[in-house]
Amino acid sequence: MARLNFMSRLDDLMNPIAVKEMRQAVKGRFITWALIIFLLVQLTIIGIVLMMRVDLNEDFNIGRNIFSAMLAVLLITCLFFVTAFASLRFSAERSDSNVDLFFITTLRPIRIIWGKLSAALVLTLLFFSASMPFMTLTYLLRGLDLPSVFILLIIDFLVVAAGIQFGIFLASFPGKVIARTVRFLGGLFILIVVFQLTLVMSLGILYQGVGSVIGSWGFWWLVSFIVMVTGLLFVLSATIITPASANRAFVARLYLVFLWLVTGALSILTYWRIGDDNILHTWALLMVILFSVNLFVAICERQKWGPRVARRIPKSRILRIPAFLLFSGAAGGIAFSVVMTLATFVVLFSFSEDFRLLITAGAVSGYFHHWAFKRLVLFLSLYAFCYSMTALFIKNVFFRRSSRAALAAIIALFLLAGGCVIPVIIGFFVRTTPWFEISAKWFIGNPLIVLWEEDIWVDCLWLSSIWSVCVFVFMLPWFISQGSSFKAAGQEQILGVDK
Amino acid sequence: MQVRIVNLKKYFGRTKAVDDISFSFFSGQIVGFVGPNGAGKTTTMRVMATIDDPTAGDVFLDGISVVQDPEKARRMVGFMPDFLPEHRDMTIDDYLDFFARAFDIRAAKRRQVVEGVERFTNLIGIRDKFVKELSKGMKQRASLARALVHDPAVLILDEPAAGLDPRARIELRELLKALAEQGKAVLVSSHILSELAEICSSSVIIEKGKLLRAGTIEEMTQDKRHCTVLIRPVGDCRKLHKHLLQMPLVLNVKSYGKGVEVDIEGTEENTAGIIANLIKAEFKIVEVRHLKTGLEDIFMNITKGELT
Repeated sequence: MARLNFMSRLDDLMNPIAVKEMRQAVKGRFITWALIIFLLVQLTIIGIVLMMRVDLNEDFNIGRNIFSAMLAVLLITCLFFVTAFASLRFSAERSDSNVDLFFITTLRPIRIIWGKLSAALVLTLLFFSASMPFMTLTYLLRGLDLPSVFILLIIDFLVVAAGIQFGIFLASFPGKVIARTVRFLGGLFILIVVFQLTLVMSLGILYQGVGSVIGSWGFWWLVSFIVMVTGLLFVLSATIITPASANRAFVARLYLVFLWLVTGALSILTYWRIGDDNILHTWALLMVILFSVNLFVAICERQKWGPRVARRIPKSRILRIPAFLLFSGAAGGIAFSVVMTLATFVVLFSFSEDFRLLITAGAVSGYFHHWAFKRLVLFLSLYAFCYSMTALFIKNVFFRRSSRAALAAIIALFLLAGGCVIPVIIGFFVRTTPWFEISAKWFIGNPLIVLWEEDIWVDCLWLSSIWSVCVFVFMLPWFISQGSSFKAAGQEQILGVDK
Repeated sequence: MQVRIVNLKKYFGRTKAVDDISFSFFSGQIVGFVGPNGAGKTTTMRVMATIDDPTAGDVFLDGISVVQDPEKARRMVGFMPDFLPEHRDMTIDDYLDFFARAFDIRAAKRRQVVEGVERFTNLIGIRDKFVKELSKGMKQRASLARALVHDPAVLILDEPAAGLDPRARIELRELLKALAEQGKAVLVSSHILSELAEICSSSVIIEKGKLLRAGTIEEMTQDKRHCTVLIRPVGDCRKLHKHLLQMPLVLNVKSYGKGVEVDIEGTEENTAGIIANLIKAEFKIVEVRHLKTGLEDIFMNITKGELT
């Protein structure tokens, strides 16, 4: 009886989505066939080597070579087939007409994504455990040690988990068949690149010896990066499937703050340990890219708080400030990105001598690419601000009645494309030099030009600074009105509010 | 349980799918939700089921707002969409078990609950069949069973009888009656108005997103702006037909076998006046029958068939 009660409690704890997915996987044919084929391939590889190779006693690398081949098969199966299985199913469920999973049950988006991910991870474990006997057999054939086998499998499992989460992330976007196909192909391309990189890394670890690799800072940075990216994709997937009217940006922005804090602390620790501030600049560049993307997403958010968000706005003025930054809404999202980017610069300014020199001395002599890389952080953030805010300004002035959520981001992308291409075309026609000697100044709309041209950065700084100030001044009344309307709504307002 | 729809609006860009509608209904009632295609029925139902958010207004389920407390409201609502989505590799039993889990029904009770709804919807004999393999009628049953799994107080059924054969329709009608008797508030949309008229105590008629009429069928009949009367004279009715067409307040006259069917504007007073006039004009009348107005008549009288 006690055992029955324990089993019932255990059953209650299980994620309903994971149970459903596992049942579907067991009852369907896809996984069964994939597992049979996978085992046959593993068996064939080991069988062919054992039967065909006559120099088994002389080749001391035979175990390692077979292991590499098996690892490749395992990675292909899990990274492509399990990811496809999980994400295609999810994508099919993400249609407007199929309301089953997401809206008419009380399941929260995070539980739904966790259910999908955990079911796919269980399937991955199934493939990993199925390959385990063959892989440990390679140990008997010499050339590798058991700790290397297990550590490599753990690393590859992490990569597969990230790949599956990436697939779920892509599948979480609603859309028509064409958009889904484009996303599928794009995702496939990225997974192919990830597969190649993982295989190269795994073989590198295998041949160098696992001990030397796991002792390095770079390795742990990479592991942290994979875990953080998986977490980010997880949170973003849950955000995407949350209804637009809910306060869906909240969890995503909290995670971004968490990500910023953890990776920032890791970077500072690494910098203190190895004394190279490139690690800090790399971190800052990644953060600036992240917050620039967030800026492009934020301009697409609502400009009026719906009832579901409004009812959660704190009444206290002090609490309302962080709530404004973290809650769904265009103005809050923009302010959040700007605050986090500035915080990144403060960290960089506090710890990096080079960045202090860049800010205070301006022109710095020395190796060009060394400085260009460090300047990019500054220019990326300024240009992202300029393009996104201009797009929002255009949307608010000319397309005020449009209900298309992504319109501001589309305008921003057009502006970015136009800013990169149009000046070059004009420059091409008004040039006095041969076409291949066209002046770098015509590329000023593209922030990446600072990576190639040494003299252009001062012009870029002038342009982006003046442009930033202009759009800020133009958008200031809008910001003020958004800030002042960020108040908890009463029942009457909810009944009468127009979104 | 009271379900109150208050000033509900739902706009898609400039299209006003639902434009400021308000009505309410109670436990034990089956309410027919009627309107031409594109009138805003499904949109209203989706808002009530917390699937979509209103542009303005709210729906209250015993005072709980679907806008402010969608999670709580969702536990009180069972929604049956107009079709059951495809689910690969899933049996009816797994499907219902999944929803029971999703609604946090504990393991100790779950089996009993799932079997209960399977029995109620007559799915118990085919519970191991894959959802994909079910007929339309069976899918509708499975969809209804899914909506009932968490024992909601309010049922919102969008076109439950669409595509069903006569036997399945009769069975569905009986199920709905049984649910109302259990004390559930049921809102059901359908194009088959004769079906609705047989089971609904009240009706809500909308068109172009606006509410045209709401109330009990009796109220609507009394409230109508014309009466339809069958008059049978002795002998040829062509003369009577011609005479009636010349009379004021007569909206329409149709010859009907040995009699005529007359639409008379206004209340029963006007009808009595017209009959008195006919007798005065020496028509030999052997039968005068007041034709009962059904939901179809009400619907045809007050809607224009326009889309939003």
